[in-house]
Amino acid sequence: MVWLARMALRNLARNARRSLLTGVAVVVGTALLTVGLSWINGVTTTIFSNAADLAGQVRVATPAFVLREARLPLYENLEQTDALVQAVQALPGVRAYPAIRTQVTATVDEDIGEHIAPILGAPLPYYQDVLGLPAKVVQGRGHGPDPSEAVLGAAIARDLGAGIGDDLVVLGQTQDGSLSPLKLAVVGIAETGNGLGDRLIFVPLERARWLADIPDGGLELLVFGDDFRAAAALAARIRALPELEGLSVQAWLEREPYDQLEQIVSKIFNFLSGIIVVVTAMVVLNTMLMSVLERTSEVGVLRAMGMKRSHTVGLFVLEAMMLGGAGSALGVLVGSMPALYLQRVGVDLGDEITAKVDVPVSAVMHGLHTPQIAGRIFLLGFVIAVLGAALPAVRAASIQPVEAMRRKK
Amino acid sequence: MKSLWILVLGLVGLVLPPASAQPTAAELLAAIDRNLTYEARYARASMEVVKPRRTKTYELQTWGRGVDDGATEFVAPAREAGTRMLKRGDELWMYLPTVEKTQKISGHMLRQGLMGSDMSYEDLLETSSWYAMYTGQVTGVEELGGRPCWKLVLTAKDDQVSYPKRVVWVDQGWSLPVKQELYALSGMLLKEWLMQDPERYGERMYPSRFVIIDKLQQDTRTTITFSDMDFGVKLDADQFSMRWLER
Repeated sequence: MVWLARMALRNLARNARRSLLTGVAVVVGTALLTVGLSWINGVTTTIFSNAADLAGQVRVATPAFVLREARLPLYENLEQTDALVQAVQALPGVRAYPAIRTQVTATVDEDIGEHIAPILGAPLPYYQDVLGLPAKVVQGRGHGPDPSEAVLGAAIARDLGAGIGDDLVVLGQTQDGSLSPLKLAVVGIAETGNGLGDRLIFVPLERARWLADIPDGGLELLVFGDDFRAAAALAARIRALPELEGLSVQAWLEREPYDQLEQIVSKIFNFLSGIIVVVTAMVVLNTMLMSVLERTSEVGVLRAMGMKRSHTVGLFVLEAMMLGGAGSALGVLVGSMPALYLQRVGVDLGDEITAKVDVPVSAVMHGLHTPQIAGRIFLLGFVIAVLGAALPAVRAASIQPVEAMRRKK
Repeated sequence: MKSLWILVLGLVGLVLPPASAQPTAAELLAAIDRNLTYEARYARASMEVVKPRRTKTYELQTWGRGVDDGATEFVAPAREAGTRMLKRGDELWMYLPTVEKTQKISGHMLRQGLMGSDMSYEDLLETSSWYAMYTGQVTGVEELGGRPCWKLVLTAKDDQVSYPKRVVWVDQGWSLPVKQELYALSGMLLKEWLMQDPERYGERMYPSRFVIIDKLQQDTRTTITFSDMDFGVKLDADQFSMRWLER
């Protein structure tokens, strides 16, 4: 077998231009695949991760709240959340935060009630550790110890004409349906990186509890583990807790609209990934096919000189393995550079698009290049190159040597 | 025999009271107005709002002048204390002390419950004379709580009225609408409103308790119980002014 490998290597060197062109096709194909798939991986991961951050990897609420969630019924609340937080956080590596979200009219002018905006009340560690809000503040600062401080998403700040130091007056409702006003000091404006977050008013949980008149509770308990992709398993562990009996426990992708979002986004990006893979595969396959087919007469000569059919096919397969292996490895390496650049810098889609959609799409879409993606693309390039060479080689080796030698180059 | 029958019928006629002569709807509405409208009134009240998951009680004091002016101040609980409302004609204002702002209650907000109760802000505004707002017919006599009541079906004269149709049981002795069913134009029952335990203030009978049940919500009920009612109160000149509201 070693002789066959040597022969394959010599063949590659013998026609360096052909080998180079074929190799370049493999390199370019796998490099493009690396960039494309890494970027798609980054986009989907960002959307899902943003969704899980805002919605909670797992969300605990009352079943009645879940049933009427679209209307955000404040009266269907978790009356006491401390015990629930304690029970959930007893699970290793799990953090839980009570949250209240509701609609308010907000203004920085004299009259109340000009803009309707969603307000989110949550503990400051949620803003710090999960949303990374302090790092996203572009004007002013994050929340301080004063519970009357609000950080505004960039879009709502723009709509309200709010600036740092302004008094923000919001008018909401208590859980009983009574009008509930709140005066907040705008201390920061944040670009959260997604349209949904940029339209939010972020306040400490304490103030939201006062607004909704839910003194010790919340509407939801947002629960986080280490990986948002493992949310379903985390939900199952939480459901088993006796303290949460009778409550609704859902992973983010089990909830509307995220269940549909996950399906739609996955379908769109799987389709895009499929197109990229097929186009790349066709380029590599076609190049390999052509490079073997043009050597049909050479197959005839080898066969006439007494080379076995299996050895003939093996020779071409070995050539393809060398070319495909080296080309795919180089392609992944070359593609990794722009993929890592996209991961770091991203592509700015502009917040005009993202501000209008109700899914947490980031204005700047970053790629996400992983060793798994690199490994899969290398394997794909290699297999396609080998298949592209093996199929015509088998066909050529099955033709009578005299007939094969007659074929034009 | 014939003379015996005449004697029996004559005795029955003496024992039984004469049947009440049926008043017209307009007469009943005028009688209701005499009881419910006033030149000046002060009262303290507690408002108990029962919701499926909790009950909340508010303490308030209220001033009224004629059918146009009204002022209310919440004194408890602490988070609502200092909240004031001012009604002037068909306009309603609310002062929110926590933000030191005055909010005009208008549009869709008017249909929301006052402090989440079964009584809407719109109900607060509708203090005009019943006689001026409705016309109708007396459809019969029914007993409520063992007391005979005239049953009236009322139709609004003006399409601006919150409840285009009311079915009202007017206590024959008190001339008060002890029970009302308030309907939308579509015929849907929106609210039930009871006036209970009336007390006499001179010539006037006035209920000491309102019970309001919003039929569009489940298991809710609001009870307003009045105390310290004073229909002869002397009102300050600025009682119904924006200055009072924002003081």
